[in-house]
This record gives sequence, structure tokens and C-alpha cells, in this order.
Amino acid sequence: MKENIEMENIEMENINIKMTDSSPKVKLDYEKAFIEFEGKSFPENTFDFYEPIVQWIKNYFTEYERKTTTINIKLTYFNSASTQILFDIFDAIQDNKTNEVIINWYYALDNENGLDDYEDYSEEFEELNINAVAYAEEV
Amino acid sequence: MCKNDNLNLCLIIDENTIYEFNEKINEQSIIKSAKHIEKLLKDNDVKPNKIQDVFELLVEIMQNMLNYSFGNIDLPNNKKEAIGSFVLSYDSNDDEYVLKSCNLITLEQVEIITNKFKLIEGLDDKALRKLAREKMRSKEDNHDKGAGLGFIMMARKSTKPIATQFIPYKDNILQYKLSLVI
Repeated sequence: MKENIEMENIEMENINIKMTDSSPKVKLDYEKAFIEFEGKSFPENTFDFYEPIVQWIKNYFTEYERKTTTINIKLTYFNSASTQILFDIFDAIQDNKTNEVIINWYYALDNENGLDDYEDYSEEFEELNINAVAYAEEV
Repeated sequence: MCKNDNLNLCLIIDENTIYEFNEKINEQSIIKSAKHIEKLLKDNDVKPNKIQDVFELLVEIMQNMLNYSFGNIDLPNNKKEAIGSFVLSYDSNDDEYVLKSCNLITLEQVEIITNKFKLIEGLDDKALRKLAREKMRSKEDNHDKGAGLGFIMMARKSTKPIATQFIPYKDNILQYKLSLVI
């Protein structure tokens, strides 16, 4: 069982990473309880790129989570290593969350296989109630 | 390090070929090829699901060649560079895209790849999905460049069984050919 630690004077650093041609924009904001990934994800060293991000998320959900957290996944293309990272992120959230988490999985309305990846994760992490959110144009 | 010329005749270029690549594979050339093909397909009004599959498989194939190549070299920042070729063809009769790659690999790498293919051989999408989940849970194949999920992803996205060939080249070096249909 998690300890109820008083963390009022300890701040967590927010992380903002700019989008590149092969890596997504990442926003990790603990004050706003907001996490977002947007763009393409196929960095050569995928695990190196995501290591601090996954660690931040683990810290956030084990020590800093105070209210409902919103997580937006707006990834258009991703490589197989990124599928493992998303799995690890959802796994960390499911294992550690104490409050409500709203997870929105964005997919292109005109993409026939847009829901395939969503289905894989939503079935595996049933407890997280991942929402599928269709968008008409490229995010 | 092998030369590009060694792979020049590795793949057949024909009238269906819409993109060919025969140079150094590194992070930048992967991005360049992926962007080029995305634009090419978008400009030709190809359906978004096809573009996604071609894009993701192209990246997977190129990163696969980067990881499994004879003579690949280490670059700064834990990056790699290798030599390889691939072609993307479009068959308008069957509305199919065919991605073919070719590079040189060692006997040791052949064994690794062959074992990975044995695991997925004959599996349908449901079984491939199950295997992917098991691998993601166990993390048993995680290494610094990937999660050991690349061939499963290729098999799931390819509409026909993945075709592979290992052709003796010299000593303990072989040509590794891979073909995927989307």
C-alpha cells in the first residue's frame, strides 16, 4: 500500500520536449496533472529517448499524483520499440495510480486501422478505460 | 566495412518501383526516406491506413538493417550506421505495396533472425497479438535498440507471409533479403 506522503514543499520538474521528425512532442506537467505525446515516434535509440519520460511518469504516479490526471496520446506513426514504451507507461499508471486518470487515444477518422493500436492497449489495460477520440485532420 | 556496390544488384528495380534506396543507413537517412515516401503517397491520394503501414514498415525494415548488418559501425551518442538497400514497389493490379530490403549479415545474425522468425511462423493475427503482449510483459527481448517486437509488427502488418532469404556471399557473410506486402 502506498504511503500518504506530505509533499507540499517538494516540487517535481515539468518536462517539455519539442517535436522532431522522428520523436514526438512530450509534455509532462505535474502542476496541471497533464501528460501528452504528439507526433511520430521512431527515434533510433527509443529506450534512451523515453527513459527519463518513463521515470518521470513512475515518480509522478507513485509520489506526486494529487488529482485527476489527463493523458493525451496523439501519435501518428510509431515503431515497435515505442509500442513497448507505451506498454510500460500504461503499466506504470495502472499499477500506481490512486486518483482518476483520463486517457485519450487520438486516431484519424479517415484511417481504417486507426483503432488497431488503441484496441491492443485498451484490452490489455482494461482498468484504465482508455478513450478513443477521433479527429478529422492530422493532429 | 562493405561497400555500397556489393548490394547494387541485390534487388530488382522494375516499372513498379516507386522508390529505391542504396546508401548508408543511419538515423538521418531513415528520416529522409520515411518523409519522402510519406509525401509521395500523400501526393498520390493513397489511403491513410496504407500510408501508415508503409511508413511504419519502412522504418522497421531500416532500423532492422541498422541492427542486423555485417560491418555496421558505431557512431557517437550510441547511434549506428550500416549499409543496405531497399525498394518500394506498387502493383496497381492488386493494389499492393511491396517493400524489399537487402543487406549483408553474419552467420551469427542469421541464427538470431531465424529464431525470431520461427516464433512467428504460421501465426494468425490473434496469435501474433498474444505473442506481442507476452513479449511486452516479459521484456525478455529488450535491448538498447528495441524490444524484439519488430518481426511481430512486420508480420501483423504484412498482408502476406514475410519472405526471407539468406544467400551465401563470402566466408561467413550472407545476403539477407526480406520482403513484405502491404
